[in-house]
Amino acid sequence: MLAAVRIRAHAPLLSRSGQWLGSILAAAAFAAGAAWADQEPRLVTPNDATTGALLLKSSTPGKYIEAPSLLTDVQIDISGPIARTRVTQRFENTTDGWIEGIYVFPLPDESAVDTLRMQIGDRFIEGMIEERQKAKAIYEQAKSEGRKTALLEQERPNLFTNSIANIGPGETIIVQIEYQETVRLTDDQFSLRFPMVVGPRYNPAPQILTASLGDDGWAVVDPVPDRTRISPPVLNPDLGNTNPLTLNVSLNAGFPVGELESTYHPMDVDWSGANAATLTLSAGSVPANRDFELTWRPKASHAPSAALFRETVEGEPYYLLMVTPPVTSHAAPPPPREITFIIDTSGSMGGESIRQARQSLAMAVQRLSPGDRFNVIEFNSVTNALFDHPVDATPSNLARATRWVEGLEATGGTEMLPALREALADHGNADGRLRQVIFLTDGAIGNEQQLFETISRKRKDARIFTVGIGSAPNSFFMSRAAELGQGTFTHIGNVDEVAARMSALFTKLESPAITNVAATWPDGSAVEAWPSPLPDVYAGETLVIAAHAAAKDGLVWVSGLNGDQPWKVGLPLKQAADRAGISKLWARKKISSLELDRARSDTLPDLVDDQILSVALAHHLVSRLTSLVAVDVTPTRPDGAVLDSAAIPLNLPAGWDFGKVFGHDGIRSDAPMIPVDALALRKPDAHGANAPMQVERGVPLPNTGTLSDLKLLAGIILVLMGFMLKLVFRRIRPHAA
Amino acid sequence: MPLDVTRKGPPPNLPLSGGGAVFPVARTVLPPERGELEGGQRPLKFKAKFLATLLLLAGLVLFGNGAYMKAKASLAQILLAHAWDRTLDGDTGARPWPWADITPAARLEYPRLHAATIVLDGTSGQALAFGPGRMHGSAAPGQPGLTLLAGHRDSHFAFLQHARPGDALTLTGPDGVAHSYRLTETRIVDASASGLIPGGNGPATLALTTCYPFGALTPTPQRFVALATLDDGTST
Repeated sequence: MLAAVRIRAHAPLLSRSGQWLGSILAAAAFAAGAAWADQEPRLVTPNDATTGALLLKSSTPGKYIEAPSLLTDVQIDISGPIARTRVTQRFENTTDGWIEGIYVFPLPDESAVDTLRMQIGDRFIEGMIEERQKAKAIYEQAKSEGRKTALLEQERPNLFTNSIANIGPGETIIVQIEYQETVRLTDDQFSLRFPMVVGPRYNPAPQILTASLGDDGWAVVDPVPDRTRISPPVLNPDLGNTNPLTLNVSLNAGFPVGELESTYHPMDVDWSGANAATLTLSAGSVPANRDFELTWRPKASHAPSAALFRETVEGEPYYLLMVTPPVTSHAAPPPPREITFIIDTSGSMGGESIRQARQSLAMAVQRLSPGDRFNVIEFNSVTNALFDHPVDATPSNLARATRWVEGLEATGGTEMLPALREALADHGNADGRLRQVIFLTDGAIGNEQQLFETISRKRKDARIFTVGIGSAPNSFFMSRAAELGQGTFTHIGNVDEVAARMSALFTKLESPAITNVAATWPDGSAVEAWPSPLPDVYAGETLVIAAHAAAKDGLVWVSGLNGDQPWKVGLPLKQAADRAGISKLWARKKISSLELDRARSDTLPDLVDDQILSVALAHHLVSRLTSLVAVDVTPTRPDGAVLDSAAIPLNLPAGWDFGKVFGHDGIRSDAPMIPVDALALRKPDAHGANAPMQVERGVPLPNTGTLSDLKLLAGIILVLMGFMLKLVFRRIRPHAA
Repeated sequence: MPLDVTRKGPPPNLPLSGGGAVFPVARTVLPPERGELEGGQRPLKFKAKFLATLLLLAGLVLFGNGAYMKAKASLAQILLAHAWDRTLDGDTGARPWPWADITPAARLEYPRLHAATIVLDGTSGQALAFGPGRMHGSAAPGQPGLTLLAGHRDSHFAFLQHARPGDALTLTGPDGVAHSYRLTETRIVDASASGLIPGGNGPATLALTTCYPFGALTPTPQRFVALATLDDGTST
């Protein structure tokens, strides 16, 4: 008999807001179980459970199985601008059967996952990068042959699954994943985040599935039907909603460090010189219920204004440039601007979205300064501009705009092109003002390419800032439009976020910036650099460029316009400091850029896929098309009889048993071990394809109850009341007369 | 984050409380002593008559609005059926009416409950008024991964309240190929923690979701989910 269970221990959904530079899910989840035939699973009732145990419903009504234990260790090595994170997870199979474990973990968008390692006893097995289908086949083959094997796959660009097969009874399996990313740098402050919080940031309150409470009030898990990838998440705040996690940071900043701070977790710091330190959690291990964040600043006067790093792979240099331009933030008021707001009032914006958009727009209009010019354009099937051309932001014009915006309703089609043309049209009265277009939409359109072309052709010096509205905007369109328009993409997923997000956007728009940024490499040498085109750099921001260049000598010039003053800085390539991992960061950026291209209508998906595949394989990265797979050379699952049954059990219903939760390494055995917020019971499908299921919180389901019945009912009641009143009067009249 | 996409109607408390206040006025009129109220009766009567008319009107408007929503839901399906025929004929992106913001994406059939409906592309509040929607990112009919359809509990997906595991369903894609599914399970989940993620690489699964409980008059946080898996052996 075989069955599989899968638990998501901890999967913080990626924050919609920011960049998750520096983060991986620590406490991932755990997995599937399979007990061999004829072995009676050990079942318990809720009363038998020890503290913090999380129970899974078994096939025997009223009986439950305790979830297995999982320990996580995180090691972050920061070397200059690059952080490499190693997540080690240790799972102990306390059952009498052979099991397969699968866990899911989210990562930041820009993280490059390149290593999968499996430890069996004292042997390490390294994962190989393979084409996704092939990796899967290798895994399945090894699984059926009784070998220990692990597979790391990308489900979404920021969501990965790890499967481990053939874990024997009582065995401990250790799996390591490594990824790297660039640290975030704003206002001379470096920061790195490692997310641990369950659930979306904007809604931290725990939620319980209504259907998931058993008769005894215990949170139990509904079995998920065969052959689905979905599963009900369960967050049980009463039982161990924590995950023991140990975390160490080794920091080598590359410059004398002034301030060093762990925002939420007390850390012990051990300095080795002015540049480097080792940090460990003061508490030893912590429950994984709060993001880890580390920030550090250079000592005053040591703040680097530019940095250049290099990695040479097979004779080819890869560079990472970091430049903080001296954006003058003199007390002068922000330069006058000409701002055009475009608001999407098409039918798809109906309901919550249009309310968010109206509120955002009303806030934005209030932020205009007297010297600015502005206009507001709404579009659905037709385009309507508030004014014929941009007008001065006088109090009366602002009041008119505010009233107009309040009256906007969402209805009709989405004809975006005329609105975009109108917004980008040069009315010839900008008078050297900075032209900014702020585009509020859910991007529910199909003619992306046409719009991109219009943006590229018509925008001239205008900057385009897209504001994504609603829970599921077309983020491909918005981020690409912002990239082409040298602006930024802001996502507002929730009405509560409007004020904070719009305010952040406006602070940015009002601050001075270096524009027309360009990087020039030594005399015409071939170079492939990301991002492309280079964005404007606002006060306090740092420009980060990853490049694969032929040149090894000479100067790379980064230039731009600071207000109307030209600005230029040259960096000698020869003096670049060597840092491992730059080629991978470059490759990761290239893959995400290719994925964007792929969604465009004018590219051939197969062609782009080939490119993605070759980059990912060459740089050993997990991507949509590539997976890491590790296989032990020696079969460990014993004898032929068991192997024979390996093919059969997949079809049979199962009993399974994960035993009791227990402690490791000085962690109290009564400490809650499983920070499980989502569990699922899974049966392998008929083909034995243990496709990993999604165990996310899932997409928010749309509201599908209307008020029509209520209205009908209330309407009937009112009409009846009216008739009764009339009848009463009919009756009075003869008496009165 | 609870998704609140339903267009909120006018608050239904219009003259309900006002109506209550009317009765005492009328009742004071009821036992009139003949001839005595000549002076005061006319304005009172006038006022009450006016209120009665107001009540009638408000009731009719409210009723009309509710009925309009129902009618819109049914009429749109007829127009969508035409657009669907055109889609099957190869006119991808056919619109049910010229200014529509919606396009048909699939046809769902539930033979046991004699239900059939055209599924739209997308699940915005506006679109759902016309028909059930296929959530963005969903797998295409019959393809691996999760196909998530959402529809109104009081119109297009009202039949789901009678759904039973084992029922057969058919989902036809724009290519005209009908895929058979078998309902495996129904469950009730929280809207913001459904555990459902459209797409992916898993086995072909169909999830039909609607608001729960079915009889409720106001929006609720619970959702009813019916899960169906692809029956091997696709019929055309």
